Amino acid sequence: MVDTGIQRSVEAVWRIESAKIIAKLSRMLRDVGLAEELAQDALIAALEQWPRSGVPRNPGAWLMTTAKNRALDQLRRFKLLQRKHPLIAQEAELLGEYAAVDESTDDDVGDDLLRLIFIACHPVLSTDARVALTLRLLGGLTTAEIARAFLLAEPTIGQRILRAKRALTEAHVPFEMPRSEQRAVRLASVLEVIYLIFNEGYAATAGGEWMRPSLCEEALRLGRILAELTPEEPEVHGLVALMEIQASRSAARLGPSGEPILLLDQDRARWDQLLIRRGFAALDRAAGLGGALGPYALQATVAACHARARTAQETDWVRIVALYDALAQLAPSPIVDLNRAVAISMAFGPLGALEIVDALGSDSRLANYHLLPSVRGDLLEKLGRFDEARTEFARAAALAQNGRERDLLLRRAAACGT
Amino acid sequence: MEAAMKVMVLRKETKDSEQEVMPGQVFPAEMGKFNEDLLEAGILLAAEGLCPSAQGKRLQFSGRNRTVVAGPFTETKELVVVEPGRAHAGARRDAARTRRHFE
Repeated sequence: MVDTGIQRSVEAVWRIESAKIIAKLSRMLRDVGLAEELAQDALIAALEQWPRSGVPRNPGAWLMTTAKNRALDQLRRFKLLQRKHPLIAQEAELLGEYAAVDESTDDDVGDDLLRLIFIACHPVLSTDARVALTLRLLGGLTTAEIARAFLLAEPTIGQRILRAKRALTEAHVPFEMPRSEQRAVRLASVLEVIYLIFNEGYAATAGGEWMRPSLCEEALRLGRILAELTPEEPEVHGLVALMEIQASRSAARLGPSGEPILLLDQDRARWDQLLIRRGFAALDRAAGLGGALGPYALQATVAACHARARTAQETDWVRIVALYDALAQLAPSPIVDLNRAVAISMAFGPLGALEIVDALGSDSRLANYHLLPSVRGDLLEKLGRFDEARTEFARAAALAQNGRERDLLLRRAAACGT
Repeated sequence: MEAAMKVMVLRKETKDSEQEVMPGQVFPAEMGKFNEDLLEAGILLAAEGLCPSAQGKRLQFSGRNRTVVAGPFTETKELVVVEPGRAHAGARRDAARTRRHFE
């Protein structure tokens, strides 16, 4: 029976240190899957030994040393095999080389971490696989935690991670920094993964909770690490700014029994000013690097408009419309158009917005997107067309997978009844 | 509710005008008259020149790999699913006002 206090400290250390350990071992072994396995072995060793010996003074270093020793054992075993089986000699030789350069200093830890981020978000993997692998390798989350966050069965996530690691091995994805011509594409993939993790935390697709704050925190943590590792990339700061500012409203967005409180009704005194300040600073850095018009920076600028308004009435909706205009040009998407329509209704009234939303009705990409009929219902209600509004809210409720959102939509449909 | 529509008129530059070659006598005079009319009618808010395009920047985007990704957008996700009591009362008021307006 493991002491729960010790177990908790092991887990806390693991969350902080695991990514660095896996990154280090990946460099030594050139195999992310094997690196993760051996890092896990070190974790198990800690869980066995620390209750007896006490938590070491530098637990992170203990885990790193233990894991490195296991990696070295593995390399020695490869060498032995090499002598016995000349067929795999070449591969083993390669491994030996890397073991020789292994005595790299701590300064390289950042580089190793960045390589690991790029690998976990590699374009050979599906988006779902990238998200799961990133949370696993860089977030230090267990398979069970990831499964819970996405409301999937644990074996599903386990399989997904296993297949992703296999795919990386089969594609011979090297443990290296992407070459310059590849870098932009690879970085975009990393940013998208972090954005998706944050998005799922900001408004959960399904389940009984409207938000999953732990996913927001994880995405924010990854974003901040990435910003430190790639300080010269404006869109990284843009994404961090967006997440900091959107996360600042977390406490104000939930009522006492977990019900959503919407923007116009939130107690703005409960917005986290520290996160807002951090967000503004990140946005300044993005702009200073010439990235004010990047898609993430633009979204952050919209978020900043809300953060700046001391009351809901003070919101500069005309400016928000202009920012969405720019976003629609730079990164066209029907989802951007839908948000632009909401901003237009706030700035200029519902009639113009309804025209845009009606045009989006024929876009097959939004066919099952519950927020399209939600917005349409909202606009129709504002125009006093209650019968049509009720139909739209009912349709939206049928499409919504999140319980909290469904409840609200059904209530709105009912409110249009009389 | 009154929504004030604002219009921006842009005139495209030519090779000559970019190099600040004056376009003769007639055009500036007509443009000045047009501006004055707008000013007198009280509808001109501002008239300004832009820098030559040589000082500008052109942004280019490749259309590849563009997927539709849902994001943490405040406008749809934090604004639309409003508490029914409030929304309904507000909408009723607006509707009543709209009806009065047309009657």
